[in-house]
Amino acid sequence: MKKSILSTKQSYLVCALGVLALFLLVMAVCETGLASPYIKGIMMTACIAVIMTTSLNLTIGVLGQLTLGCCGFQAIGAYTAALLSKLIVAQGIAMSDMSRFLITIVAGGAMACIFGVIVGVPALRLHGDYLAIITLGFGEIIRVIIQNLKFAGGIGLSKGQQGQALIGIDRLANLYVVFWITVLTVAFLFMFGRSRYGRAVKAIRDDEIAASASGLNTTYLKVLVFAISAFFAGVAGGIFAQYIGSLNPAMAGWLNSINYVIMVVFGGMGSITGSIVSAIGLTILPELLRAFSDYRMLVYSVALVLVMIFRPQGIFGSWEFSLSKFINHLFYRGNGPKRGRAAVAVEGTASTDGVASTEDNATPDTAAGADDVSRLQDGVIASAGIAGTGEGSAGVGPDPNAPRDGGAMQEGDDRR
Amino acid sequence: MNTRFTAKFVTICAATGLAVSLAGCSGGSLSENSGSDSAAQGNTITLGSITTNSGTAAAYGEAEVAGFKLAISEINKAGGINGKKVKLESMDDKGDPTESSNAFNKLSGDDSVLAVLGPTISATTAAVAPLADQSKLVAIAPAATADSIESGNYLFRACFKDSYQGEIAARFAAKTLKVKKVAVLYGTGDPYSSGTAESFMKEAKQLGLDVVDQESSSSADDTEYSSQLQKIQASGAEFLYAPYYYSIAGPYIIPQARSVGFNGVVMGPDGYDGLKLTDNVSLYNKVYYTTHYSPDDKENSKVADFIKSFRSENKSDPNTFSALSYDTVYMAKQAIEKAGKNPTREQVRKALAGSKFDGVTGSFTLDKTGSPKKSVIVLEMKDGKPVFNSTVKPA
Amino acid sequence: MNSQLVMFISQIFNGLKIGSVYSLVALGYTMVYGIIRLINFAHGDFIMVGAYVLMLTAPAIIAMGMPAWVAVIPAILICVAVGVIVEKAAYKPVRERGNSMTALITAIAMSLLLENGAQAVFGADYKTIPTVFSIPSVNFGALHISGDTILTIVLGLVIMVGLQLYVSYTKRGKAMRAVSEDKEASILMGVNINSTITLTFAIGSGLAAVASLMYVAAYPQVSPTMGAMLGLKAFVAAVLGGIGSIPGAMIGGLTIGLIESLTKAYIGTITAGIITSAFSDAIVFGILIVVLLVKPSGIMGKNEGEKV
Repeated sequence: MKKSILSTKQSYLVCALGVLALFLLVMAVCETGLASPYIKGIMMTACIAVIMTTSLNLTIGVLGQLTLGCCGFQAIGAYTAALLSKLIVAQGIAMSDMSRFLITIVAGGAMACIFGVIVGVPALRLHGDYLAIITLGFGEIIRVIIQNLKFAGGIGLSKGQQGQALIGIDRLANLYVVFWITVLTVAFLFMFGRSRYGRAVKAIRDDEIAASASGLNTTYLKVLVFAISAFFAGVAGGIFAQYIGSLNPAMAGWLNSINYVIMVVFGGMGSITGSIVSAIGLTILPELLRAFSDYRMLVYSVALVLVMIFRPQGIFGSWEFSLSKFINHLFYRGNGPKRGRAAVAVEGTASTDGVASTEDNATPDTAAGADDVSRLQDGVIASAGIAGTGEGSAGVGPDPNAPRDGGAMQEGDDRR
Repeated sequence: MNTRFTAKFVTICAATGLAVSLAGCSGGSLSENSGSDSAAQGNTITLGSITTNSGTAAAYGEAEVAGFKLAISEINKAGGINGKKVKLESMDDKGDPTESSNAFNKLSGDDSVLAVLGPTISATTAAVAPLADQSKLVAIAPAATADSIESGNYLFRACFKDSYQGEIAARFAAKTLKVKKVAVLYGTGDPYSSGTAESFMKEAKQLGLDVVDQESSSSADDTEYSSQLQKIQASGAEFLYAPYYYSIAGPYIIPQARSVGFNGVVMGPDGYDGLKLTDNVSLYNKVYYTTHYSPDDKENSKVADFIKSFRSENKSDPNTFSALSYDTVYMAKQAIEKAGKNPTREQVRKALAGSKFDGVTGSFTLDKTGSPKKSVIVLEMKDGKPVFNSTVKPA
Repeated sequence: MNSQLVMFISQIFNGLKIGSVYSLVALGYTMVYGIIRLINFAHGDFIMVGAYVLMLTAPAIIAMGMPAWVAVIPAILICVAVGVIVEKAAYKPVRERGNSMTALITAIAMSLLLENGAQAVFGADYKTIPTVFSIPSVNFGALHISGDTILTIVLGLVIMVGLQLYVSYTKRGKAMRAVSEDKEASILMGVNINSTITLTFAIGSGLAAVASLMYVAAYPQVSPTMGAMLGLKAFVAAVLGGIGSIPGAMIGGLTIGLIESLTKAYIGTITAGIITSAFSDAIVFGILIVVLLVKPSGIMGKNEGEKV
């Protein structure tokens, strides 16, 4: 039996080093003055887009529910963070810029999360196009409400003006900090996807009725996913507010949300790698097309149609990049590790931003995934088959390098 | 969350925190000054422009670009600025603040750019204003009217402020038209619409006018206003202030107001310039608007020339956006010429601040907030043609 | 009649004016959704295409001495062509290879393509359209009712009944229902799925052209983005009425129009000025959400049990 050259812990280390290398690269580019404010601005925008898409990917790709209201949550987070930041200054509370930034974005996320639960509990009883239209409606409601709030316009708070853009927000966003927030977000979402919760959520995606019949509390899990997604959208909003320095209610509109949905579908639903790559790519692409200013939206829409026709599963499908897998591949070319401990080590993979997975690593038992899911609920039997459809079955396959759940999702969606 | 999951995540968080503190948070800040003081060399002068050329506000951006292009081609025919050819580096921001700030950053990184023309709408201008300060590059917004964007030292504009026009309209209603009962209709989603409406109401109340009804729409580009107009009609108002753009007031608001039986005066701000009319031009009688210039102004020869050359270039009549953006280019030209042979960006700003300017949209001086003080012209629609009514000098 | 009552009835008719246009658009939406379960985001842009054709052909038609509304005939032809091309070139391949999410993205992309294409061809500026109808308004004392509104409602009703009869009794119509019910089974029963779907698109796009005629009669202006918000509202109307149901689309459209008009007129008074007419969009969506939560299949939709 061939073994992976990396143990679980080593693969964590590799990922951490990978991220650190990426960070050092960013730092080197910024500190040496190679990066103009333009480049830095694009990097910042890309980080915000990555947080938005990876969190949206959780709802669209992992849970399999289409929402068109993510920018509603982003707007809630942005306005909360901006107004809180102004309030802290107005109240004369002394704190460093860094802690003000962090506190406000967490508050923005928390507020978005609360709204996520409020919206999610009733809305998630529906699915498919109906959920899409409900979330779209929600975003529009948020937009209309914000534009009618007196304290959320002009310079804000007590001197606010209704109907105006909120301006004069302190631009506290720091590229390095935002970079690490992005890494944390991706790490959390990656780990969540691989945790017992994540596998349960994938079971719901693949067959909700079967999942609920096997004892999963589907409502709880769906709302949980929705709330997590909303939280990170709120965080992204908080960063956005303190990067751009001004906000207007139109940001909550459905057209903006659709932009992020396009990014997720473009990258491949369910693939964090895909979300990251397409978020970065689709942030940079319009900038590269600036030279063709007049026709760039035309080019963009044609390109989108072509991708949907020729690669409907998105660029990456549900494939994930993994640094440790990549290293393994270098050493065992064409001779992938087999099963057992080695396979599990491979499971401890990382995405581009080098995030390690958890859960399965310690338990090489192939049934572990299924067990975890069933243990989540009380007195459940016969769940292994269903819960196993997601990541739980990963360890069973003879060759973990083969794409695993690529087809499953498409089938799941086409079933009817 | 189960404990294992939490524990691992907390570990990663801690590690990240450590990494952040090691990296030191001093760097990576986006608000450091990066102004370049190098003077523009070479044989061309670049003017950057940021306009909204796609999305729902595309018509306004396109009108502005038409104005820019006309002015620049005229300047180049006349020998350029300081003998150098002028090049327009035009960028589309889709009406999105992120795009406009990326576009501005891109322009500010190009040393040959001496001034930025734009952005189009108040939302994108608000995002650009702090960047202009940070990179010490002037931005001259042709038509971003919101009062609130008067921050910083590097943002200038060619248009009135919202509050200014609203006040003048109220005074015109009270003193010239001598009406008593006035009503307001505005779009809450649009800073221009709600800003002018707010200042109109404030001034109207001070002048002792009776604001009998105040109606609003969700956005400034709705198509159906009959419900609100019916209420305004029922309230007995003799005068309606409806600050919207030409594309909304022309085909929708005014005909709908007439069809619900409102026969009083309708008044609007400079957004009414180039009003889109329906076949029945008699509907537009008793419509007034405040604007910058009058087509039949004989004193200002620039107006006739501008309208003539705009028509021959674009096969259509100019609207406010084109007129203001045309002047914006000449404001930039005047400032660059005043700043010297090879001016730096900072010199351009100094030359522009407080300068006096004669253009199509009037003669004015920029005040210390970068907004012009200029006289307002009131036009009245007669058989579908705007006719000069009166001039209101700045207070 | 007392003035309050006149006001109320006038507001009802204001609502019917926009509502009748929503209904016509929603009919097209519901036809397409009913059969392939695709939110055709480009439907609003078909209306934009129809309106541009009207704008271009109307002067020529008037010059030939015919009434301006005859321009709807070229508009229908062009819209049907555009609809069928979009279906064949984009939706069909995606439907065969992708899932519902990719189909939706394709629809959005087609919408962007049509909008930006129109902008590239015609420019972004607004253009007014000559009067297509000159129907005198009907007066009952103090009450004025626009002739266009009555015509739009009548036309909507005629089209609704026509479609309903077509779908219920003709062979083609039955094939449409069969495909919408169960694709695989209808193949087995000898239904040509592709031609049925194409026909549905042709009908839906033709309806879009008729809707654009009635739209420009009430709101005489065209621009590349005119279809976006109209399409969204009409889609909301179709969902509210019960998507896939032909009478539902009609009812949904009129309901949305009435809600908009009545909230604009009375919400300020009812809530003592806390909520103003500016909230009308939010209230429309709020009511949609409530209806969907109470009766997810919409007002007229039939409840479908979930298949295991």
